[in-house]
Amino acid sequence: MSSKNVYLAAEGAAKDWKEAIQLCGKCMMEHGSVNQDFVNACIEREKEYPTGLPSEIPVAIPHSKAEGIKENTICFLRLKEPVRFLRMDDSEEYCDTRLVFNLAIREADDHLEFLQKLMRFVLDAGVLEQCNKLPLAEIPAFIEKELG
Amino acid sequence: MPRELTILVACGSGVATSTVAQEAVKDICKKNGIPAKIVKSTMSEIQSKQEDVDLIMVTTNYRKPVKKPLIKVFGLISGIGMDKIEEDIVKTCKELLNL
Repeated sequence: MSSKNVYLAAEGAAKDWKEAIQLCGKCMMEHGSVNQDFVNACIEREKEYPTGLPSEIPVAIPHSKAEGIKENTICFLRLKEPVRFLRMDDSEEYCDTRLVFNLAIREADDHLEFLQKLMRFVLDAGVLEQCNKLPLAEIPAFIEKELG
Repeated sequence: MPRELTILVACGSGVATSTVAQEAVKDICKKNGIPAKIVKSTMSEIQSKQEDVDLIMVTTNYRKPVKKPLIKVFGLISGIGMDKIEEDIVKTCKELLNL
């Protein structure tokens, strides 16, 4: 299953969560994984149901099930400075994070095992530290190995 | 024979977290002998779907009033406070089934 997923990594600076999602979107559009509809849907969804996860190392997992996903893709974004995402479990709280995983996944029910692994992955301080440290070019292979 | 409960598991987009939570809820019900059918939805579908279910579970905060019992299950995804949530689920389900 993992061989069908595309893993991308990007780096950059964003002033807020919206710019962070746009950076992921740009990376995924350049790769041809998604189109602008998907990026817009992620931003709209984030406004209403935010995706910041307040774990040991906070992360955010913006995603949407809208049209516009051409292939299942996980785009990792490493930011220079943290941006503030509202929290998934309590949208009146927030977490500041430099690590964003933008998920473009169609037919979630067919990817249950993968999603379970993915949720464990984004909550695992050990692998997130690797995502922080590794050269950007090595990250897609690292994530694929961890989720494969 | 006890009837089967219908449980709605909802998250923001109905994709990632509700899929993971749904599976965790399925396991909890199975382990505790609770007959349950689980359906998934987005948060915005809760209002229209609540009539057809016995119990609602959400992975995020939901502030609108609902007519059915509501359990927050974010911990099933993060793994934090899992035992307490399992306890809540089992207790609520058993009450609904009059067990």
